[in-house]
Amino acid sequence: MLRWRTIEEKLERPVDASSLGVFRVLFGVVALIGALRFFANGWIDRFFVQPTYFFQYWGFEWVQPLSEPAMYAAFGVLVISALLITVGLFYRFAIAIYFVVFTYVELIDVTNYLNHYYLVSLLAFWMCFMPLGRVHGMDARLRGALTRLPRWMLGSLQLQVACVYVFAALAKVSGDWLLAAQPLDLWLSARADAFPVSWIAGIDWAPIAMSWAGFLFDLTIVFWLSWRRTRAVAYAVLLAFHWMTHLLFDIGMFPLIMSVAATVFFDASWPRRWLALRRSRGHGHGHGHEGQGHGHGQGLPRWARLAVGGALATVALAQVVVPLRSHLYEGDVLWHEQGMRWSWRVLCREKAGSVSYRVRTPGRATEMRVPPSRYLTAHQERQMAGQPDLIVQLAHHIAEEFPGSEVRVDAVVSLNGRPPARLVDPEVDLAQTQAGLSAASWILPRPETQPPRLARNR
Amino acid sequence: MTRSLSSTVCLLACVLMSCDSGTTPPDPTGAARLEAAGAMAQVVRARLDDATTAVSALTTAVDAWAAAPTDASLRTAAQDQWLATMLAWQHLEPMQVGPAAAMDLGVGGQDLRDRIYSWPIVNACRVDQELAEGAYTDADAFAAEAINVLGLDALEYLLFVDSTTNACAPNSSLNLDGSWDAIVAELPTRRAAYAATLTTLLNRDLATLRAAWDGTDGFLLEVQSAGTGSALFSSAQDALNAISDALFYVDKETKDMKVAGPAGISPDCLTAPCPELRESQYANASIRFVHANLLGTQEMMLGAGGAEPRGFLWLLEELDQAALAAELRTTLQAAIDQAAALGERTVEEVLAESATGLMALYEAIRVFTELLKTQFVTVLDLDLPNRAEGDDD
Repeated sequence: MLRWRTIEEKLERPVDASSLGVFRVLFGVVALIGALRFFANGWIDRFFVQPTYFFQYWGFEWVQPLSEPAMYAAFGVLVISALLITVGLFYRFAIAIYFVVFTYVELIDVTNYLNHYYLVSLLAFWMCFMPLGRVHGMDARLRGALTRLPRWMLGSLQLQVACVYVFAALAKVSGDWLLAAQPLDLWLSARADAFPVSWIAGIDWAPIAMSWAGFLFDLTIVFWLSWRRTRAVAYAVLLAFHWMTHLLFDIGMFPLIMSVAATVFFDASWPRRWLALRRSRGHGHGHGHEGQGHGHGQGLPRWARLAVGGALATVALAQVVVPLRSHLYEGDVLWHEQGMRWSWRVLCREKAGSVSYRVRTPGRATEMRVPPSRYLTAHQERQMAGQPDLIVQLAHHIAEEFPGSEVRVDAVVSLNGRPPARLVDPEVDLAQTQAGLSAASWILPRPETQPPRLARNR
Repeated sequence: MTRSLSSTVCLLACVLMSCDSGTTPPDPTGAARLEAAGAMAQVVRARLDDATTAVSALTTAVDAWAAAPTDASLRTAAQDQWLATMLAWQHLEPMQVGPAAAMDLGVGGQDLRDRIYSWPIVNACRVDQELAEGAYTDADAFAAEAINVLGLDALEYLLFVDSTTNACAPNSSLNLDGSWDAIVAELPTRRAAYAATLTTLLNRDLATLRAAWDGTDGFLLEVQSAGTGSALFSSAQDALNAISDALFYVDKETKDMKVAGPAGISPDCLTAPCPELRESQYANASIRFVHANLLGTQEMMLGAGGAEPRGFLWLLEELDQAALAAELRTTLQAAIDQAAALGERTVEEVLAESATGLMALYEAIRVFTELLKTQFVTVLDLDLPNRAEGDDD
């Protein structure tokens, strides 16, 4: 009990709120750009209006897309809430709305899953519990400024961001990445004439060096950022690293999000010291609250604070446990994909599949060949082709169109350039198969063949 | 300790940034991809010339028929020339890259293919309506009409249909207001005149397509200068990707539509087999078209045309992926052989014997496209076509 109190006191210990205030602004800007990109690129139409079929998340089957005007309105809400988050006006309301709408949008179709979207949802979730509008925000004028906030608020974001890097590093602990330098070898070869790869494209050991560098970066960057003496250099390296990934890959907002997210490892007071915000310390609304440990839950009874704290601690624990669940399944997670989502396996495989369903219906002599393109957009088909649970989902949909049918599949996949191999047992009737959390016997093992190595200088 | 850590971080940064202590960077590589993209673009350009020559001969034949619409031999000559033109065009179908491609799908797309051949967007009823309206007499004005009354597909209907009835529903205005009955006696003349207008427009559209490929701002130069001044392609890989996109025609259109439909294994076929789902409804040359599609695909894979072929197969060999190149070569040849084995028979003739021939053709193409959609795209790091350009991570 005493020990718990000590932990509680440490978590509640007030720290300078300034870095969280700046993080809120940066997060709002990133969220705003992210939402505007959907309008600018026509993605609302492509991802939420054009598809006639949507892949559902296990446990979230009730999430359905809205009508076309409503989908556009939802993204309009994201734009407005992101703006409010940026300026810190009605912040608690805005961040809650943003979290709910953004998460809803991302839950509509599994084929839209991206690690960085998941990260945005999680960061927004944590931020719902932080009064960040009152730190360098307009809410400070309405409700009084805060200059200090409990330590757990910054700590929760640090834990979240650390999970991304550390699990991304652990995902690279594989023969393909560390020994065969795949898929980096394939990626570098394809970008040999693009800066900065052109500088090293002809060097035989470049892919393996880059693979190890990427692994070591992910594994250690949190440590370097957390240590004051190496922080500046580490952040410069981080910016260079993410800038390079931005140049080389179509990963959208990911480099920007991680560059912003990494600021949570800076000193809590860095904006005051670095951005000359000292005046907010000596003037304005915040002065009266300094040093009071003022912040979230201060007005709540102890049992309520313990309940909220316990819930948040559970969420934090889940962030560590959920990515590890893939180890409960035998085989290569990059192949069978069980436990793949929400485990921060970022840019660590090159996978392409071909799926063709064989449908046998009562009263028809010949087996039908049903291409996924009958139901899916090209984007959905590409994403689905390497994910066994989605292959089963579509099989169920096909079985609904052809009642009483048996649905089997020819699904072959090439992982990191290997010769294609069957991903799903072609003899199993997928109409009678469920893709749940248990280990899937209908997924065939990854072939033992080694990934290829491309010739350099070509 | 601090210095050592800083050094480590610096070294890490150095490796990440791939710096080499200020020395001159080595020459950029990736030359093979650019070479292959350029060579394959030249194959497409050469095939456009073949199609132009064929359309020119078709124009002569159709004009002769239009001058004597009741002369059966002239009509037959025009039909033969249409078939020759179509075989040349079917070669180009898996080469819909650049200006021929759809505007919203392909890089540099200008929708020019659909004006020349718009299948599967075809509508015989609309052609009959145009026949009744007679607007085709003014080629300039008719050029603005929808794609389903233009091009080689409309021409097939005009050249090969003999019926004095039309393709519209009995309750359509064409059949209710008497406008069709009024032209029945003139059908041969009208069909020939309409066909002549279409060949005039085909010549123009092909000239437009060729012009879009040529010149200092043409697509050919864009591909050849990819990554080094091209306005369309920031890298050779982008150009290669645009070309590979076109190859997937053989998966969706050729395999899933042209073969699976008539074979009766497509879900669109309610009672198998379904010869009515064939591509060539009136000339009945569907199987030959499939064969031509596969030959066009092979030409691109080989990069044939120049003294030294520089297609995707050559590129794979250059990248030490000879086994994959050999398998692509073998599986594609097997599909071509399977199509050739069906000969110049019509779909009905093949199906009268058995559907197994078409099913075997489907399987042979599937084996090839399976490889195309998996190892081929992963090894060359190509995006599958029409990916909606979403982000990735």
